[in-house]
Amino acid sequence: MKHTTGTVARVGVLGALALALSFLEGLVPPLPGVPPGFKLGLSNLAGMYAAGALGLGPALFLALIKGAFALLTRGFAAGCMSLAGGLLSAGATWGLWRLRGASLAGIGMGGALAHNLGQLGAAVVLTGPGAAGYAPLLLVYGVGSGLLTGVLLRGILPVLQKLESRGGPQ
Amino acid sequence: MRRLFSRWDAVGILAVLAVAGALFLRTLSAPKGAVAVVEWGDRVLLRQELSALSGETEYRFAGEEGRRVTVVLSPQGARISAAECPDQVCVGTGELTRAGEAAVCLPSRISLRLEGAGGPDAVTF
Repeated sequence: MKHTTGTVARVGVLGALALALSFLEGLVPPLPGVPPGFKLGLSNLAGMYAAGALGLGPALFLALIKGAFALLTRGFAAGCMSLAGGLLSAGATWGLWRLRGASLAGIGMGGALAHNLGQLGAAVVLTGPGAAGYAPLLLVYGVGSGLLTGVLLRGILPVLQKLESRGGPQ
Repeated sequence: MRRLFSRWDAVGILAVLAVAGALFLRTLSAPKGAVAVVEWGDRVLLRQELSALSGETEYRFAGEEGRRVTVVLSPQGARISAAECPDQVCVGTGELTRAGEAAVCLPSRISLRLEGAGGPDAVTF
């Protein structure tokens, strides 16, 4: 897609949406049975949509913005984790959108799992091999939060496609 | 409009859950943790044989940005009892008893993990 003014505007709106969603997620108290620190990944909705509708570049740019926001508001470690997860997730969702057979749930889960693996990798680099012990939990929550974002996207996409003059991702 | 779900998703979910289950079972069947290791990044701050302790022993460390982390070791296990960070993920992890288990405090970059008697080969990657 050409980088028209419309694209720039949409990237801006999606970036604001991602930041607002991640802020709102931070306000939700920890769910019972879920260890503190795990989030639903709702802000990934914006990144998923960007990867499908606008392409890889805008999706990576959104991940950069989110990473910078985490760095400024929650510190160095959180910034690194957000960036590693976000970039990997943007790449994975972009690749999955290009597969015609991939379902919305599949795209959501692929993005969420890539996000969690990126965060786990960053945590291992930052704190040492002990962090790898969180791998089983991160895999299970990746499947759960990915399914949730897939279902939400199913509800949101038709509305977004109506708004888009040229249609969103097919 | 794409489908919400395909049968490949079911295959993928089963595969991921199987991997997670296998990793989890490996931790569960791991021997009792024998040595507690506290690390700041790749620097080892403390390596303590748990059986050598007579009771609960408290250790204090300062990590990244001077954030303090308190670790409590006992012959039964190890836990992070306090940490100067907003999210308290490591404190919420609770008591570690088996080799390979870990509690990680990201803001201070300090981690606590248990090793088996045989050394670091009980850690799952």
